[in-house]
Amino acid sequence: MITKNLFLQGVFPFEGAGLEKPVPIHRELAHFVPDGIINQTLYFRGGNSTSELITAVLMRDGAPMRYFPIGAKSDVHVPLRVVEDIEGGSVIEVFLLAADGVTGYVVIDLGMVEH
Amino acid sequence: MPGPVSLTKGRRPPGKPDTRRRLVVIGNGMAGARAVEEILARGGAEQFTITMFGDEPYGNYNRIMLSHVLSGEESDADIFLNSLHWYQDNNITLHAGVRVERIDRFTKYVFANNGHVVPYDVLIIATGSQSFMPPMDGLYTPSGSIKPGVFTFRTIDDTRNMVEHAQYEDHYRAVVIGGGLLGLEAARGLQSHGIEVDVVHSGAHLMNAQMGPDGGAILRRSVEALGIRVHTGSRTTAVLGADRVTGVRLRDRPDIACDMVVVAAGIRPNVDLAVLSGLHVERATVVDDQLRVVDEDSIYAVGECVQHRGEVYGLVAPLWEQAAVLADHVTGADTTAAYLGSRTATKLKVAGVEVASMGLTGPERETDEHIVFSEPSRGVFKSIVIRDNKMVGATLLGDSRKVAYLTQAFDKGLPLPEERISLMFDLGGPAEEQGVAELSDDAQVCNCNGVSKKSLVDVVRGGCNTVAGAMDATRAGKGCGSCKLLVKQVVEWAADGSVEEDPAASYYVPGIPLDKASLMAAIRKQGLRSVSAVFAALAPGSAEDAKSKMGLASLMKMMLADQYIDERDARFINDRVHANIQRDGTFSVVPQMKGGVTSVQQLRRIADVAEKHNIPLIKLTGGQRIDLLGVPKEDLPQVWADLDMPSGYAYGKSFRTVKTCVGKDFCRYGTGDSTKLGIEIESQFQGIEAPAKLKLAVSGCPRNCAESLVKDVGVVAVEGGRWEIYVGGAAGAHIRKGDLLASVDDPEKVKVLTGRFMQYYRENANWLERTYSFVPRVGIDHIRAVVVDDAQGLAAGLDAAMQASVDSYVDPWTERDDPLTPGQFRTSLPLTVLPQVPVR
Repeated sequence: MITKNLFLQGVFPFEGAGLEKPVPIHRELAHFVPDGIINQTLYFRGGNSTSELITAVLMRDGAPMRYFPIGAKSDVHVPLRVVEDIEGGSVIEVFLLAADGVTGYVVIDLGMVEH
Repeated sequence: MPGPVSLTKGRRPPGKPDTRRRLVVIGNGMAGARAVEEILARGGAEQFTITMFGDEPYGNYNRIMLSHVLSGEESDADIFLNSLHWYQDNNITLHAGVRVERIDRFTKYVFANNGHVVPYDVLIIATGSQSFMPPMDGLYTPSGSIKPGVFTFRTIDDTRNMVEHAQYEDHYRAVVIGGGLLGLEAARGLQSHGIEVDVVHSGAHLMNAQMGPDGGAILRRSVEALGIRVHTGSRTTAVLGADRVTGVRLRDRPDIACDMVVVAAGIRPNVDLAVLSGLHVERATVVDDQLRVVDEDSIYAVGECVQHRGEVYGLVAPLWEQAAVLADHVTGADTTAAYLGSRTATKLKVAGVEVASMGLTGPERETDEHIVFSEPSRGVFKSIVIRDNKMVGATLLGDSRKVAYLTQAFDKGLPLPEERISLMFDLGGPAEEQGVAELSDDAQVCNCNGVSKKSLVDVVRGGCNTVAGAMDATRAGKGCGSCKLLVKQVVEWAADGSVEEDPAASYYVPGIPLDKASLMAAIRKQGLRSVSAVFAALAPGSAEDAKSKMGLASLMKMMLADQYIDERDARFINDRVHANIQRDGTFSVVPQMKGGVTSVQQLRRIADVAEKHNIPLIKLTGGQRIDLLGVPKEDLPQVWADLDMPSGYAYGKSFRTVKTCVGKDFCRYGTGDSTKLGIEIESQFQGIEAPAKLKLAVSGCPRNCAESLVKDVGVVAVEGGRWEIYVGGAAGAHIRKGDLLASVDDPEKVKVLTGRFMQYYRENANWLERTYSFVPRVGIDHIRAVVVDDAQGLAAGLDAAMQASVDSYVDPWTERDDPLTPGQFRTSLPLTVLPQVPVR
């Protein structure tokens, strides 16, 4: 089986738009799974520079798939132990939930494998 | 289908407590059984009582061969690796057809679905993978079972069911979902049952995991040429039909009607048991370099259900490596063993098309070199990606002859040749270059001494890393020698590129560290005239080496003619007594019969001698002579005396015979007097030493009754009074048609060129190198330039040297009257095994 590793990652400034509404962080944090390929997300790593709780949301085709809360001025590393197949033709994105008006930087590193 | 079977045998008698640890293996597939084999090979039977659970109600079989079962090339009985008896013989308790449902890792028990609760000290999980069912509508019946007519292609039962379904009379169309390795195999297999097949593949080209778009396009042509319809870039959204399959629905194309659907869209590791039992599972059960499950001291996992360093493998090669490391640890045989991951290369025959693939399918960086050869009409595609002079990927389609070398280069990061094209093609190289890696372990490499690939590999693994060393240790290549090249390749392959250059490989004889040219130069310069003088002057420490004597004697006789000082002990037994030693220690005597022509007197005398000496066997040889076999050594002088004929040179590394046909006087077709010419050649060159034997032939017409095209030197008379001379043919351990050296119009010229070629061969060939190796090595064009066109001005010298050898010829049979050494003809029989001192 020939697999390829993929990452959505970077450090991005953000401004909170409310804790109920996931919003895109940056257009780089999106990935279209090609036809005939299976994608699996393996881990999430995140950092939060603000003094408020924020939550990164892994979206599949516009619907939330996983939530990763990150504490104030804190970080998380989540190795995913339930790994599902994401079919070709799907879009994977990382969105953010943060309280209104909160501004700061978020560090995102989402690891995936495709085969 | 047989029900669950439990085999238990070899329990110890009651009263004697079994102190062995309990090893439980979950999974009886290729990984589980292989792991147990490796454990047994390390003395595991002493340490463990072994219990195995297998989900399928069979012994262990080779899943890779299922496509052959589907196509009917093999029966399902042929693919079993371990029969049920193997488990009994090794005292393994096998629960076949029993599924383990849960592991209690704290109390160390496994719970099976038939109520068995088995304790373990060491547990191995080898649950493997299952077929992946992509989401689509209509796959299942309302009751939750898979719809009749839908198949996966994973187990022997799947295969049997598919064959059964395909053989229904009203079933004639199938759709295979998935255009990868397995899907194409399934498609091809179904075709052999007379089924029309469509392959629906969601990727943009076939086998997109293994190759790029160009290769995929060529593969598609090859597959379509077989009559399989291919639909790429189209996803199946539903299986149609209420209670049985009637077709499939595609996302953006018309429906395809069919009677059966085969889902071959990949595999997924079986991790349910591990997840349920609380083991660390990501994409598969996570193990460390010792194949131990994370945070568990007594649970190991192996095979396709394992994730090691982030990788999940779906091939057998990594599995073998894992099983060996696991066994080292479980048995304590080598606690430092570590599995560091595999670089996988696939090599398969997919739907009759050879496919090999490794690493990248195309260039990724600007500096990557990408070498592509594409020949769509022949279905051949080759692509190699090179980065920093290391191979990082290759795809071979339709012609995988270079795959053995490429796999090695990919695995080991070997430096690549400057001329990249030689990575793809054998440019003038021998055809045996192919396929060392894919030879099976029990393939016989050396047919003379029955040496298998595995025994050679074992020797190399045991630390022997020179070709000569491996040959000495196994006797491979020590028979007829025709397998030497293959032996060399196997050793190089087994040594993974760490084969050491054997400095002795270029020596003319093993005892003197000089190649032929330097050796001849040194002999001339120092005026050496005998074998012992050569040893004294040139051998390290002046040591005499028995293995070198014969080659030196032959070389010096060739070089020095009558100046050579003959030393009897420098000769092989055949040369010492001028007869051919046989396997029982007796000798065979061959009277000379030039060109195969004899006379009444000669025949009568041979008959008389045979009668007088009770010759047990009189045989016509392949070289048109009469062989008197079974003569004891001490009788040789008397046999010769009674025969009173010259020797026929059936022994020694020398000119032997000239086979001829009837020629023009009797034959209705003969155009040249082949008999006369053959006799003249044989008379002229009789007894001439050479690096190896020389067998010649002269045919009177192109019908070639004397088989001239497969002789060291073969002459054929053709229409118009011309003679064609062929050199370098062979029809023994090797088969080779000779190369045309020249075409001349005069029998005298034939003799001159024959002698000149033989002298050039004598001066330049390696010891024991027959012309069939020598001619291709040097090149017929070069030989023709030297021998025929005299491009290097050597002709006169060659002719003179040959003439000197001819002039110094002495009939060795005359020695019968005056033995050169007291023991020359003394018996050394009986060659029976002497009583041995008993070994204590």
